[in-house]
Amino acid sequence: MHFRVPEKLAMTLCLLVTSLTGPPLLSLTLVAVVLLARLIVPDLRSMNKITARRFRSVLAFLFCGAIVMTLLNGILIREGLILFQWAGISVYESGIAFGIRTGARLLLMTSALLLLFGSTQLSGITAFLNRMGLPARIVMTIHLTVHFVASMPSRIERIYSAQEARGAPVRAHLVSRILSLTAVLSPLILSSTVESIERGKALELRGYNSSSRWVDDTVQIDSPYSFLTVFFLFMSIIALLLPWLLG
Amino acid sequence: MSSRLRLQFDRELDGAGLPFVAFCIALNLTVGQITAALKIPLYLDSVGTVLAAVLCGPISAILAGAISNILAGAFGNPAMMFFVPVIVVIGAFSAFLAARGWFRSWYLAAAGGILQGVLAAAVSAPIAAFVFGGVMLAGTDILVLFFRSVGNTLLQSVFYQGLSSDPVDKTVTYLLVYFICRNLPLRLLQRFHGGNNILKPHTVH
Repeated sequence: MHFRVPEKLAMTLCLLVTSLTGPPLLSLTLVAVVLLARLIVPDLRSMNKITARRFRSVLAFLFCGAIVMTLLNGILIREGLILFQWAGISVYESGIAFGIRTGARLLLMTSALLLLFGSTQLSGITAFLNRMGLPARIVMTIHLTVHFVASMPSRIERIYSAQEARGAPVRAHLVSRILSLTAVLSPLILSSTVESIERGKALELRGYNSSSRWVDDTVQIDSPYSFLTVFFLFMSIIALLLPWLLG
Repeated sequence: MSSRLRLQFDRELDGAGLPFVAFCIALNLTVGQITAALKIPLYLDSVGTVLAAVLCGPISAILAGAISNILAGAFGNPAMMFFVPVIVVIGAFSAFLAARGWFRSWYLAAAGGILQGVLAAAVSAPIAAFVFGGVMLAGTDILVLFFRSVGNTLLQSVFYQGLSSDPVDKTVTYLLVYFICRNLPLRLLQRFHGGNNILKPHTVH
């Protein structure tokens, strides 16, 4: 069983629709299935250590957050039966049920998206979407964004240190700190604008930034049609229609 | 894509437009690093979108906002993907105001920021309420719970929470973009499709 880009996209869609329409127990079961699939299906494993760590840390944070928010909902939404009382604090049934429902939904959505982006190269997804009709300019924008995102932290750090050395009020009171935002952002935007102009020229010279280049034909992509893709798309429709049919 | 829309798309993303929109998306995604370094309790996560709206135009702004939120999902904040409609509204509204000269004076930019904040709160409230039940696992969840505990409905609570933070956030964002664009050299501003959104009409050649 191979999970390539089309299958992964269809599976993610199916999980997202189920998280919105399914009961909390189904959502939590599917979270467990996602975690298991990540371990046993080679195509769904994290690409590298960074994405694996991100998957674990984000999910662990959301799991702890969901438990805390469920408890807070139980305490603050005072509707339905009192489940238990402790030190004068009452925990109500409807608040807990609401917290579990939203927590399970958020966990399934997050795990589905982390599974997709953790196991697939962004370039693979954009190449597939390009062949399916996404304009080449948008694909180029996404690739350039990844370049900028990678270089941005060091740029910000350099400008921040330089402005601090010049005496910008980066450690003063709140209003001064907000005002010093322009001292950090202005050089960042100015340098990036100059870089954008240079990159725009370079792209035009290479024929990339042209309206005639609508689809990039040079990239080999997977066929969108397979049993798994159709299965997941069918299940998405079922998940969407079932709650409506059952009333 | 209709021919008129495609023409506008081509015009806005021509030359420096495309790399600049990519930079605006990266700015949306990394501005949190600056606010964290300066210990400022604001998101400012639409500063790139507003910048694209002012300097490039509506399609660039919508594109910058939508890709920012989708990539935020890829970079570890999947809930952002569901707020694409909000950022689309922010981009379109910012471009609308920019085209009418609201970024030529600071007080109009501030007023636009307040309006934008109210609009953003109104558009994001149904998504936050019906998709996430008001629970985003962020510090602002406490405010939603507080408003619910005093008897408001879920939708009202999420809207009030948005009203308590969005207008301030968007006003600071608009003013930042105004001051940054004012500081850009004229020769750079004129390279962009929306350069005359900042300049007085007689300065554009």
